[in-house]
Amino acid sequence: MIDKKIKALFLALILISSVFTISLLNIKNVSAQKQETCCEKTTDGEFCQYTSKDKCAENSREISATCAQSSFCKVGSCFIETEGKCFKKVGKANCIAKKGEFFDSADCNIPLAREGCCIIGDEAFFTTQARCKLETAKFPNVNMVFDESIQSEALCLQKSFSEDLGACVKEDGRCVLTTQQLCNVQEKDVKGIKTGFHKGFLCSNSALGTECAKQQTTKCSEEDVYWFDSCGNKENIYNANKEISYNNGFILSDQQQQEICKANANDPRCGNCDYTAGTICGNATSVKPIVGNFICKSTACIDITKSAPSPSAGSAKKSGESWCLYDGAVGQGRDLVGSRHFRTVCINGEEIVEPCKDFREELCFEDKINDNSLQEAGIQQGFNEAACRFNRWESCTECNEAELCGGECDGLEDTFKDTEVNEAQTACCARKCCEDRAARDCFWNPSGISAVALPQEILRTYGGVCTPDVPPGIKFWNEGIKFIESTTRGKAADVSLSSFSPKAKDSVCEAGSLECNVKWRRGGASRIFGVDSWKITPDGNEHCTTQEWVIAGNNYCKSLGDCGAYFNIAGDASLDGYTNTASSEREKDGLYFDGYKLQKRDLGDFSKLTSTDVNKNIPSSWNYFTPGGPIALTALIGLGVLLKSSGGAVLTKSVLGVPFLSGFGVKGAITGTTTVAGKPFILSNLGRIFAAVNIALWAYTVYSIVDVVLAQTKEKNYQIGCGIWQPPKGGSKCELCNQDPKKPCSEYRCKSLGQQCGLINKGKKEEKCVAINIDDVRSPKITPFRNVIKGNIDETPNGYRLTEKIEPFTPVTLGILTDEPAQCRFDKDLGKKYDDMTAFFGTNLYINEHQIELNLPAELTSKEALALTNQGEHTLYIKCQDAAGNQNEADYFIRFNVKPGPDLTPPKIEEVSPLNKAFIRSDINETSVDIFVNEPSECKWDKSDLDYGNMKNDFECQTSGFITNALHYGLFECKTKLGSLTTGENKFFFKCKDQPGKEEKDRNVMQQSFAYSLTKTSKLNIDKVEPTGTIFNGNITLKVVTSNGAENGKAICAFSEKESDEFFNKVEFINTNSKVHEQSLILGTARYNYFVTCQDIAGNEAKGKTSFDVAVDLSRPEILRIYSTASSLNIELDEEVNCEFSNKQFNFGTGTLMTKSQGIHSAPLADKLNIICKDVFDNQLSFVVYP
Amino acid sequence: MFIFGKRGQITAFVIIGIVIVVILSLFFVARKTIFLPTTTENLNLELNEIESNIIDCLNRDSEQNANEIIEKIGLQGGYLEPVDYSFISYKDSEVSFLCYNIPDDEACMNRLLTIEEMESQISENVKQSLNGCLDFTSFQRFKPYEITTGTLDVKTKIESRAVILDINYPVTLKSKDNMVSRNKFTESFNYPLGELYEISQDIIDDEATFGFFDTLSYMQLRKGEFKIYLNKLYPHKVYQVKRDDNSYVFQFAVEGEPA
Repeated sequence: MIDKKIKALFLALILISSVFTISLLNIKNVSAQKQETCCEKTTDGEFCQYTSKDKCAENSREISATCAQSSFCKVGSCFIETEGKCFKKVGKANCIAKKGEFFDSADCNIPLAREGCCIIGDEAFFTTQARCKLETAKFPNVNMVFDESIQSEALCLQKSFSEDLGACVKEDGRCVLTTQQLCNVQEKDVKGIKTGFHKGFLCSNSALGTECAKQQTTKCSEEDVYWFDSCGNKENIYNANKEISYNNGFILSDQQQQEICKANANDPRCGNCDYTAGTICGNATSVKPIVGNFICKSTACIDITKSAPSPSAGSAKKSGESWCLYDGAVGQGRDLVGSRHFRTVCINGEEIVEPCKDFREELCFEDKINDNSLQEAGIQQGFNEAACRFNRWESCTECNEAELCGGECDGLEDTFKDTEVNEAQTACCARKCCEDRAARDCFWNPSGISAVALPQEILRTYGGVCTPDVPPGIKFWNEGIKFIESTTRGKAADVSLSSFSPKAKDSVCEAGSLECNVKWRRGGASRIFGVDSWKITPDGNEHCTTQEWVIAGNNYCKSLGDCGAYFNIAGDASLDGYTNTASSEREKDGLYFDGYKLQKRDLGDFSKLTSTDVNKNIPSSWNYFTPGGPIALTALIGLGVLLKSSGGAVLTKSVLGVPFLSGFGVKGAITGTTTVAGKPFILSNLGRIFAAVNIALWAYTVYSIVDVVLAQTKEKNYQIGCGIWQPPKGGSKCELCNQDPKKPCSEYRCKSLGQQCGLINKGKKEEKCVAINIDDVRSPKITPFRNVIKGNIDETPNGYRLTEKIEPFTPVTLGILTDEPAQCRFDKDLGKKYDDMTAFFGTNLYINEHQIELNLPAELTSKEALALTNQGEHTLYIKCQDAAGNQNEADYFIRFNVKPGPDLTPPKIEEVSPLNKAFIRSDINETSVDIFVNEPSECKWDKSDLDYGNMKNDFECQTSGFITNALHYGLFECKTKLGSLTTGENKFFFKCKDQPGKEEKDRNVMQQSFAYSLTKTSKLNIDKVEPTGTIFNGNITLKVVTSNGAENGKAICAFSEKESDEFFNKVEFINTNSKVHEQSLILGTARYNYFVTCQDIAGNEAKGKTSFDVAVDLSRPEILRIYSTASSLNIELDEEVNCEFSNKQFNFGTGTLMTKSQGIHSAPLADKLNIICKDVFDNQLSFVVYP
Repeated sequence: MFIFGKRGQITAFVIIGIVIVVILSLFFVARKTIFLPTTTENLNLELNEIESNIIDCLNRDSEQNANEIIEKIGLQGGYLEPVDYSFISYKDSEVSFLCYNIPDDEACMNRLLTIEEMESQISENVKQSLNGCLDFTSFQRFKPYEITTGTLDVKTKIESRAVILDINYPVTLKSKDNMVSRNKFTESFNYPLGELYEISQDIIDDEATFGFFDTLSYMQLRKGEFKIYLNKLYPHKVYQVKRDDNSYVFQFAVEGEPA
């Protein structure tokens, strides 16, 4: 029995020790951000550029703010007279440099820029008056005709002057069809040629005697087919009946032109096309007209590119219609990796595809137009219309923490118990927030659990989690794989995407990483009788041991973005982005379970994801996109614990054909009776029955007591690792990216097709997606990464060994280098295939430098464990794989030794959040604190430095017997709330005791407390904001003085002219981060309101404002009156001035001040007086008076 | 007595024939050159030929000919020599940003490209191209007059449907008796640069105001007379504008920012 027990214990230890605590060190390459500034002019000669400080030209103004928020580069309208044009949203300095006139209104809403219809001859165009003047000036003797009353370009373009057209005949017999305005020929008869302007006449009219022969050719004019004479003049609309069309040599009126005939598409006899009806003049192809080569062609797009997942593609479209093109299923988290939305338009028979923004930052929406408001733009009622719109996914996860919202979520008291109402309301509000299509593009993923712990009944109704409807794309590759870049003369704004990342990719996927604690129990009676009947406890999260949980975890993970395991657009699945430690679990002696590993088939049926019907049920909506229809492929089931939840999960829907499961088991009931022949069995043996029942009850009682007292429990934590999606190995499908000219290839699309895919010849016409390094057949070479390994190593070609032994609970960093970008995995067992190895060594990315940090649990140092592991020697076996799929055949080993002996070391608090001695805002009375301990512990705190046992307050720590995962740097987290914070320093003392679950004598407690303090600060005040009143100078210094707060007034202040702007949207003062904050501004005459917000290090915020007027006078004083009396010369001016006089020329300040009384300035009479008057703005008026 | 055989006689006649042809050719050539009458009319005809030479220079098969310059300015969004970081590489061209990104704003800031700027660039480049090509030394050889030239200046006028180059290049032909001169030579190129520029400004107005431009309704309003193609090269946009009946393209970029 004892041997069995020891054996069981050893086996358990070996199993446990096979899983190390792993922490993925976030090696953040922190580089100091270059100071960006708005340069009035750059060294390149560009104006108003928001760029790095060193790019500003010498003597150019600059400000640490965006150009739009500076005075010298603020945006407005720029009117340039030489162009006769107003330009919108131009930086002020740019406008001035180009000799334009700057206006604050950015939309050209200025008198100079008012547009109207400019008519020159028979041409009309919508422009400004100044531009009309410039264009008219090109035609001598032509007066400008500018009609301001026409305020629409469409009306202007439609303006027809055919009734004013006529033949302009010259003396030599040449003729031009034009307006009288443009015909400068006198009317006379020259040898039978009637010169001059003849209104309504065609040039070929025989009465005029011109050299032009009628109806020689046909050509397109605007939308119709017209006859043209031999001189190239337009005649009337084409009709195969020449007589009707010629109209005896006179121009047909507009109405007559329309009535001459009505042409359908490809009508060989009529050239009267109708654009609104779908025809326009064009080259004849299939049908030849009776005369000429031009015909009314159909503007419809007939052979529309078919696309199975795009419901509107394939059917013929009219000119002006647009529709969406998709790569596969859209919405509900189903969008394929590498996919993109496209908008297609039909215009005059041509199908033009416009891609929406890559990485699914824009989505394509389509609908039918239901009104006539766009007819002016040629878009008819009933037309299919599509547009690319911004993907509003970012606020989806916020809904999972929605507050109470009222409305229909209020009246749930009747449905739920009092204890559950609050939670039900919260869950209801989360869903309401998620499904608010006016605010966001999210999808309420039905699952058994929400972010808040919910009882089962609520889960059934309101269980779910809010995820993006269309998951955003992620830049899932790094630049380790080199590709051929195009060479350009200068530096293009982006040759590759290495300079930025579309998403904070780690944080997007990490949100999908979950954990679940499964608990087993074996009753004492089972132990005694040696029966291994381990059972998962009712609250032990049994669902986390199921296949459904593994699948559901990935469904959730991939719905967040390009995360987890999923298909790319070619239908290739990659499982690399998803790990689940439950998958590698194996059942042993009735304990644990056989874990399920995610398979490709669990991702769905790719053919259905790209089938014709997949997007058929997308409800049409012009403004937003509501999901509808079946959710057959993406139903989520109980996800296990979502960080905070401790409730059980209910499997609510079928997933991928897995049948519906319910509850946690069915309790049976004892029922039924039996009878004996003659008399009822019960009555005749009543006494014996009672005795038997009595014995049975006693036996049951004893059994129950023993069962409880000697019961054993086991807990194990399983984690879902939601990582960035990785492309499939190799590069056999890279060329797919280049095949469809309607869907241009991009780097994102190309990279999704394979690890080896990359764009070559970027920026060139030959840019395409190809497999790079396809001849690479060599697996990566592994060597030690010495930069991260502390201490010495013994290195061999097959691995290395740390020469120094490691203390338990000491983080140890192990690292390797590969000679090419590679993905690496490790396992404790030798000889495993790469794909079967347990975990990634570092990340799942293809890079050259790989490292992990380990925290080794104390169990590894127990006698039993040491006996089994060669006195504490442990080996990790590593294999790597490159982008071409070449894997190492032989394992690379890393060996290290753990110091033997029991754990005599008390726990150590390694990190604290918030930081020790941090500042706390003045309005906070209570705050959460997290401490991170180097080993599993129980921790307490108090305001006094007491012994551990006397401390009154507990931390909430992970206290199961063995924790195999730590989320933060190999440490173990404990949480608590520190309350009753008072202004000033608040001191606390923390102590911890290790090895929970062990006997007290084996446990180590911290002798010295961890002293922790938080300083609650006072309110930050703004004492002064200047200037105020009226300032007579355009050079202003905006100044703020702050006091109190965390650092006695030291704060960062920012300003804005909009009160509603948040702190981060305001412009920081150029001099700030102190008590006095200053910003120089150059302002014109106007009234100004500035709103200031200051924040200190504790987060205290103070607001202030100021208003002032700037009055800048640039004009000199003017004389109103000048007169003399008997003895004096008197002057009255139009403003407040000081005047000086002299009998010779002088500079102001050196003359004699004139006396001033009631606005009259006087000086003694003299033969000649030189006078200078100066106002407060230093404007001077100088003159000489000879009284 | 030296008597030729039959063969020798034929040879002699052939040689005489060749000499006669050569003399005649030389005579005709000399008539057009050394013996060219230097009347005003003839000198004007010579000027016409010089003008053709100038036009040929403009249109010669070279990257630097006027056609190439005007096409390049269209493909590069109005800038022949874009400065660093002011363009995006697209299909072998350095396509300039005509609207710069404003951080955290969907709208952009108009870079303010003017017609005058484009005209100035074209003028400067054409002038450099002509300077490297114009050379009348060989033209003047054996001619009975002197060619003198003044300073070359080029003025460009971008019209709606044409680009007109006014080349101010005083050329004087002076003989003993007469003198003719011509100062201005004009060549027109049928590129609708002005029209396409106006459309690009409409696009930029909308991008600068709304951060968005609807290509379809704009094309529909003009009955498809112009085609506007939009490509989104993350995070920027590239617009290509052309007339439906002309292959000339004006393309430019709008700067974007990653999310």
